[in-house]
Amino acid sequence: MPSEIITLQLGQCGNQIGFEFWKRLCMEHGISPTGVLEDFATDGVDRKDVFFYQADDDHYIPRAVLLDLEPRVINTIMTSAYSKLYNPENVYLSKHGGGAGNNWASGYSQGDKLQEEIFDIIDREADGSDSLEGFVLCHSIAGGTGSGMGSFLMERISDRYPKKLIQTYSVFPNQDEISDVVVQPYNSMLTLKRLTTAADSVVVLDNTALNRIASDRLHIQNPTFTQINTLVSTIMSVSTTTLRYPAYMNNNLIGLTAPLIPTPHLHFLMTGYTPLTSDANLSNSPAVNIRKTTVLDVMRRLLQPKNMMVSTGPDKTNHHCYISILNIIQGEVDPTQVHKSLQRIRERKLAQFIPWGPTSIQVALSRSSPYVQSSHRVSGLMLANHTGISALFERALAQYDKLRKRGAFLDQFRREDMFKDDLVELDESRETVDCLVQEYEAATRADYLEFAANKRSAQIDGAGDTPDSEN
Amino acid sequence: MDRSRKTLPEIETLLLNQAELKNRQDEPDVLDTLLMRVVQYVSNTNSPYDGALPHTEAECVQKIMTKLNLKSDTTSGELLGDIFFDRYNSLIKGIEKHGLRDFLANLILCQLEEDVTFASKLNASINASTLKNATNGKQSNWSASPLNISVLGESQEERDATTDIVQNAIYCLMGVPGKYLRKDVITGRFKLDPTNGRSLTGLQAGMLMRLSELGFYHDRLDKYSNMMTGYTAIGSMGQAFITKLKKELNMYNGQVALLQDKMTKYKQQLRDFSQPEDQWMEHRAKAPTLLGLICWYIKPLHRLQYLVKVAHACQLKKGGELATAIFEQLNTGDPVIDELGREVLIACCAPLVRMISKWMLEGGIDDNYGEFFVESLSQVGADRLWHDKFRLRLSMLPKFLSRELADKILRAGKSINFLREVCETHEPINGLKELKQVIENNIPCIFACVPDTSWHAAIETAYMQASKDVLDVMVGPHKLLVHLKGMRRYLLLGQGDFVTIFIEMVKDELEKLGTEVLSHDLSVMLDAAVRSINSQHEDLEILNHLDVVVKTPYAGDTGWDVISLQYIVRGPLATMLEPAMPTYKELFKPLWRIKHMEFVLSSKIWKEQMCNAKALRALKNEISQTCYRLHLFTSEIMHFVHQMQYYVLFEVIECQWVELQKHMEQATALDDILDAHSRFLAKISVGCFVNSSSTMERHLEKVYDSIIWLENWQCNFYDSCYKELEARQRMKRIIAESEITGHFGMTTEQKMERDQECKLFEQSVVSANCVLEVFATSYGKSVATFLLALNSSTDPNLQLLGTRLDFNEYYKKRDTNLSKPLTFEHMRMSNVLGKNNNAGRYSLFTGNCGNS
Repeated sequence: MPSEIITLQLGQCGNQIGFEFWKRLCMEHGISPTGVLEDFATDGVDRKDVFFYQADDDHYIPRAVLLDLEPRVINTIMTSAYSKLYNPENVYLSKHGGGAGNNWASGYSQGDKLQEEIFDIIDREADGSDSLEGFVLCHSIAGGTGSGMGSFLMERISDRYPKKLIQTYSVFPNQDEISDVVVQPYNSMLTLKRLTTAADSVVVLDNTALNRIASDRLHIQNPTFTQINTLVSTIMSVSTTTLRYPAYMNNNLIGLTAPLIPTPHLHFLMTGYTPLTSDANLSNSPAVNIRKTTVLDVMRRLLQPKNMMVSTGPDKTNHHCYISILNIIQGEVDPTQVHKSLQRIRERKLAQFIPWGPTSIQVALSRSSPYVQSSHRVSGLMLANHTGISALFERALAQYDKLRKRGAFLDQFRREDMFKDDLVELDESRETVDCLVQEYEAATRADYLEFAANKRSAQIDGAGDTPDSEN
Repeated sequence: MDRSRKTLPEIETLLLNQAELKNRQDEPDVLDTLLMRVVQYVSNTNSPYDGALPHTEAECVQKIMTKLNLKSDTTSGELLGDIFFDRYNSLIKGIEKHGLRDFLANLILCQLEEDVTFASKLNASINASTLKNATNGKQSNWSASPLNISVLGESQEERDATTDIVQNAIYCLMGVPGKYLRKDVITGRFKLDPTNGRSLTGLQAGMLMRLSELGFYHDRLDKYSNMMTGYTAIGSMGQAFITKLKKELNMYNGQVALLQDKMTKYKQQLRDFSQPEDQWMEHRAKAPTLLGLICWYIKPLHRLQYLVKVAHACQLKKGGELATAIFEQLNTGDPVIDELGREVLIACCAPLVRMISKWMLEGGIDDNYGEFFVESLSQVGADRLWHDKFRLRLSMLPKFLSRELADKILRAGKSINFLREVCETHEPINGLKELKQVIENNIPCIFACVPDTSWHAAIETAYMQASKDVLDVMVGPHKLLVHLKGMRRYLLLGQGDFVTIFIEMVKDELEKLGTEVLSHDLSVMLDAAVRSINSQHEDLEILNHLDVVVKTPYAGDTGWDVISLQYIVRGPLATMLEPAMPTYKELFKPLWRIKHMEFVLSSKIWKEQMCNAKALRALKNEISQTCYRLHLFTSEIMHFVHQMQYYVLFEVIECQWVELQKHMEQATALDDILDAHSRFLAKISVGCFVNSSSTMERHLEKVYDSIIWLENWQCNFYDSCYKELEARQRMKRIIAESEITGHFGMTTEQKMERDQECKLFEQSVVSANCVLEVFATSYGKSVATFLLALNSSTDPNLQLLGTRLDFNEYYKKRDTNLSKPLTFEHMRMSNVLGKNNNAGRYSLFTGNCGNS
């Protein structure tokens, strides 16, 4: 009876990263693209049943639900080598196949319409597991299906399965390039609200940072989606590695997230991974490996902002700090090194921590898959709850405000039922996100505890003010 | 002549004595005196009876013997005739003249036959002869004496005296007192006879005294080699020792016998002097002299002296003690004596070596006297065979065997014994015969100065062989390492997912009261938990050993307190691991407790908070402040528990486990593994604060109690929140319904009531908040005390735990005392610490509240 996790992949982006994720899991567990255990992997000591279940003929099937409103990505998946891996009953494509048109409202309302069919699938999967621990949602926050339908599903699931965790891998749009989706700020804002209120933990995958890392760190000029998605799948697989290769601690989702998230709203997690290599990089310099990876080296690098998969921007005031850190270290690690590294980090004050409570760098040593060869002795993933992530929301707020002030592109939203009468939903979302930013801001101060009280008094004082007028 | 007159009364006395002889039992003695007197008489007479004698000497002796033999009773083994013959022979030696001897023999015979007529005739003839010789007797006397002098070179008196002294000396060599030497009753030493000793010259007396020393040692050694005296060494090694002593004593006796033989020959020669034949003269024996004895006596003296010394040291000793005692007498510096000592020690060690060989090669102890240095405790059963059944009997360990070697011997035998008794394999070890040969035939090597002989090599080989055999059996068919790993994974919670799943499965049982928990349900769930984590063969086998036990509950115990896991080992494994089991049990407790706490914190408290945060959003305004307090407090505790758990599971157990694994890989003997294993357990016990530092345990218990308290508090808190929420929703529903029906059913009364309830709720939240606040403060205090204890600890590991628990110096900033233990001044003044309480320093949250 493991703590099973059901993965929901929504929309184009969600299905793409989900596809990469499953590919990676299959590779790590020695499962062939058709779901059959490879001969070399029969005596593995891993736990496949968290993410897979076994069909009657013993082949492994992912606990994945693939949802999209347009067929393109799912069709690609279903024509790939991995088409036989998935349970075809779990692949749901909207009948009309028109997609959500990058419109959150459309995605949301379509989700509403299709919820019976979707929950048929989800309920079946949930009933099929002995002790479901939670859901993992892969989506982007900017598009239509992933953001809209994702938001809807999050809300429904948290009602329907109030005791199950909802973790999301949410892809944030790239800020460095101009998006062809003009309503992206609206979409983001509306999704962010659900991420704040309905999800239990959000792993932020910031496309801005991913692209930057790909070009700066991996020296890829124009990173493709696949290359970016490889990064994403690495993060996703390593962040679940303690669930799949259990050791002494952090063996379930709750054990992983609970120590990271002190208060319900501050659940947006940054990730960092080191050392980073890409296929291209390896082929260019196959024999040269200049890096000597040690635990200290890995842990030190993980604390560097340039290895962060979230672009927080320069922290001018330098007041942001870590609420909590979990380092998942893989490879040949001498247990005694861990402690020394922690000591060193503490002495050098390499990381700044919150002043309002005790916290530290947690370390989980994890075994890694024996079937995937790594060129590095030690590698590490950091899951961090950092107040600096609020920069991301501030940016989203700023972009939203730009559009909202002009009242641009609201027509498409007004077309949907939800916004027929007014745009309250948008304003409420903005307020929620703004509140979140304030809370992160408050969390940098020692009197974070007073945040609730302050907020309350502020609300009472400024009851009449609209959120817009504050900015 | 007056001399011949004396003769008759002499004979008369003899006759009288003869009459006595018939009645007495102690005939030999009387016979002796009789003979002596007759001989004295005859030799003094000097003139043979010139009348015709009825018998020749030979005839007479024959007749006397038959007569005496007939008289002697058959019960005493010796015939009187034989005794007579011996005595006669020895006495007759002094008389050279055949005539005299014939006369003497006839005299004795007729006295025995009480032939009075012949006696009177004889007497008459004697008288006649004396009368006849009265005139020329003097001359004949003179004619005989020059001859005597020419043979012995001294006067007959002197000659006799010297021979007598030498004879006495020889007697005393055998420890027999004689004319000149008497034994001191108390010391057993010889001393000069006060009367006879006066006739000795100073020189003679000195030499006699010297020789008597040897006699003394002979006596002592005789005593030490006689089991009956109670002064001997004991046991089989003691017997070997005594045998050796006896052998030495026999050798000595043989030498003395040779001397005596010489003496006897010499005496014979003196007697045969009357037949001066030329060739005989040349072959005659030299007189044994005291000086000659002195020359001879040095060597045996040293030997006997040494043996007595050794035997004295070995009194009432046995086994190894005995060997040690002998060993200590070695290395005297005299090669001859050293050789003797070695011989004694070798003889003595022979049984020991046999015992060693039997023990090491067959695993048996054949030790009736308790003298082997390996002891088997008969009252200890086979289940504790490995650890307790055998032990070294250190008092019996010979000094020349090192402790390590003894340990090796102990272990080798134990291994063999274990294989035979517990594992029931009966294959002999490799090269048994050769080893046995080497071990049993190289006894001298056992006490070699440097232990590098073939014997030691054989012991080493046997040890290695036995160790390897046991190791192979345990690691191979009995899977010791697998089970150690199993215990580490399941009892020490190394397999994190297993315990998580197990807790998840039995959580309903765990919440129950202790009295309601039934173990048979649990074992099914345990089974499922193990199966679910992995389907490997070894795990399934481990499953047979893993069991869940329900302890007898005390009042108020929940399932958490009574349910515990147990690893059952059977057969040979039990023998190996049984002593470690209580430690595992002890260790399981804190580990289980910390998992319990983690479960309560994550799966209950934290999860509730997350879920309720969504559900209770409507009450945000009223409860958010309290909620934040709750969240922060929870995260504070969670941090503590996670760091603690990390420390225990990783820093302590995992690090030690890595160490243990290293040892297990390198192990050449089973004991290497077991020793490493017990070290592993000991270190973990210290690290987990089991039984080591009660203060630490108490601090932890305080923290754990806070968690339970928090759970209850939170439960009540959310209950009241939900009640309020429900009431509000009901209110809304009523309002909504009333709107639909058209009449506004909301009375002022209802509204008032609702407002009242609302107020009450708000008040309850505020009071709950206060309670939480107070509690959080006291929690902070107890953590700070714990940290202080950790920082003040001398164990660097605990100090490191302290830094981990306060990684971002949250507590330290709040409490200046916490930084003190790390300063030099504190180290110096550490004894003042106890008085320096930090109670007043806490401004933890109360202070912050004041700021708002």
